[in-house]
Amino acid sequence: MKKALFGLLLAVAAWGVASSGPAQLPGAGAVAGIVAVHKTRVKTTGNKSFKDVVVYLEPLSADVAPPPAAHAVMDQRGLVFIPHVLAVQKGTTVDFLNSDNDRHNVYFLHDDTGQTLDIGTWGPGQTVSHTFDRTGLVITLCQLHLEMAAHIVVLEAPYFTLAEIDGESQSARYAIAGVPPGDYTLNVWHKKLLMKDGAVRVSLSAGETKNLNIALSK
Amino acid sequence: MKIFARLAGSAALFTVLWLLSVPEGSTMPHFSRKYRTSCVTCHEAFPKRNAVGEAFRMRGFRFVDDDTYRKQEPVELGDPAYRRLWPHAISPTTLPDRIPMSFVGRFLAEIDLGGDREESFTFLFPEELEMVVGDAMGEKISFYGDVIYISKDFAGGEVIESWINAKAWLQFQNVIGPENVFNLKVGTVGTNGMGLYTARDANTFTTHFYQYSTWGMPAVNPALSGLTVFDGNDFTLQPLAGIEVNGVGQRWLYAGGLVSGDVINPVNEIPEDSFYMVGVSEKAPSDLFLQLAYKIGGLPLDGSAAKAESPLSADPEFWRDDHCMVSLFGYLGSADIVIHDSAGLTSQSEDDFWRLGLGFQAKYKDLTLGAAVMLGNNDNPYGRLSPQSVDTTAWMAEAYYFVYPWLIPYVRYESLDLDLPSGVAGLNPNQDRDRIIVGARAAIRPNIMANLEASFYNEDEEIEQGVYDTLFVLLHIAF
Repeated sequence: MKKALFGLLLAVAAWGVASSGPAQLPGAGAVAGIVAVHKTRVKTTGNKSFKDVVVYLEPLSADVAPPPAAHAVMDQRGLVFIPHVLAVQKGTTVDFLNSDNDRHNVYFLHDDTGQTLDIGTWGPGQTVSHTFDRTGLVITLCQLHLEMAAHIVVLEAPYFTLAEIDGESQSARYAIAGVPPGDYTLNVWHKKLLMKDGAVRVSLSAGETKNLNIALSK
Repeated sequence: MKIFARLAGSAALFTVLWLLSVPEGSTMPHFSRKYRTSCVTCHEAFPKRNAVGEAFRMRGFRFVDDDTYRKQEPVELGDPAYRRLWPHAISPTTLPDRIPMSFVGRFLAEIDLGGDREESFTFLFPEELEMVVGDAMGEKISFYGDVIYISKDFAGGEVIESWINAKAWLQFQNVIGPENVFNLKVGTVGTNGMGLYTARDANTFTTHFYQYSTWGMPAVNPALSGLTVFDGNDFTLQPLAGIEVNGVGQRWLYAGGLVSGDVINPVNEIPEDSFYMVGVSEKAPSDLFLQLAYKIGGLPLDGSAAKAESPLSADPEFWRDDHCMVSLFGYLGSADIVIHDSAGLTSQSEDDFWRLGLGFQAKYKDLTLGAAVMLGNNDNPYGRLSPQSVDTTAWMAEAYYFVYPWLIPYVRYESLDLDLPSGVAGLNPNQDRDRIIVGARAAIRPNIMANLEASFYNEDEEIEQGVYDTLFVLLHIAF
């Protein structure tokens, strides 16, 4: 009974993601499941909590859908980057807003290379856009407010979702929909934790929904 | 020997001129907790504020759109709708949800550079401990208070004196007129309005305060003049008890008020009491002060929205705010001069005095330049001992530079000229001095600072005390 209920929830979740996710292809499938924190706990409250998990599929083939034309958005409001974690496909443009009355700056630190980029400082109500053309984690800072930080995870393909760990159960449901048939690697990004057993290879056939639970550990 | 004793005695009250600072609780980490933000949101390197911090202070400890910034919800003492529904209801306000308390400590080592001090090395642990409270209550009221334990060694002397003083004020925001234009403050006023806005003791990187603000009219030494009491003019540019109106616009600000500068415990003397309120006088407030400033370029003084420079060419840092600013300060007051001589005769007279200053500050990227001059006149500071008035000129020039966000070297040259009367027994007429300060402030953390600073004097050779060349090492912590 529980399994049936869970299956139904997965289906609903997959449908929800599919309706707002990447363009649907005939025969697209989905990967869904539960992300659970293993043998530790993470803080899930506050502006800089550890609740966000990016679950993503990396295609093993070079054939990847183009980035979306729609811009993603990151705001700066109340001296906080909103959202704290943002996942985008390579080539996506992100609009950086300033909803405060103060000046804000946006400064990127590429986690893998240490390269930095200052895209400027702007005032209330202004927006500056930036296109991310390289994969990897981009730590986003404001030089004027040292405590402000966000994480932008730039991924090769559009097959990802952002799950939020529940503080009590220390787990989250995830569903990546609209995935074309093919071979992938399932992986996660979290500020603090890794996949307990490392990335998983996934083969998806047309219209298939795979159920894969993920354990996160230190 | 007699000359030496006379000179030493007449300089006694100068002994501690540069050793005594006007304690100013201007560092308030409570706000970091309230807004969940770093100290550098409001400070270049505490206690010196940046443009955001200055606007926050002048708006009564509020940001524009304060609700958006605040991470701790205040306790409502009434919903605003009550007043709308019942106009005669008690006005609603709020209380901070936690006691808005901060603590600041200063630990100071002094190393004799000239071989003149009694002790070649002194360590003051602590030199100051401050407990500071301050916050906004609703939209219309803000408050501030501090209690400061102070410990001083008096030019490397063996005896370390300590005492506690306190300040407190209440400000009513936006009493009349447009926003921020007319605010009313009562209590220890002038905590930021006394002296030149561009050269304020509460806003400096140095270990000690400006000479132009801490000097006081030299007193006559009774023991060397046949007097039993000489109660002179104790005015210094310190915070004073009284009433103040202040306001701020995008490019201008003012603060003015009614105070009494004839204080019981001047900041350049060892206080008579182990605890006292700063700036309290036995006289009713009748002195006037006025501070004005005008800013050209840079961020608005009132924190109002300003479009930043071209986004893609901006090179921002939290301390940068390219601008020029001019400031004026004026003070008009009077003090009682009371003299008792050994024959039992008493005389009392008035010393009417004024101060008038002009300050300038320019900031370009990582460099800040400042200059100021403060003129003064006391028409009769020595009562029947001398009919001569005293003119004074104090000026200074300074520069500091952000080498890194955490390292700020600075240099300041200061000069004080006192046109003191000659022939007054117990008064050294030659007490002019120049001072150069060279140092650096290092931000070990946003809330932990260290200073390495050397002070060198070029004084009239007769001054024997209080102006020794010294190397200071300061550790300054706020939490």
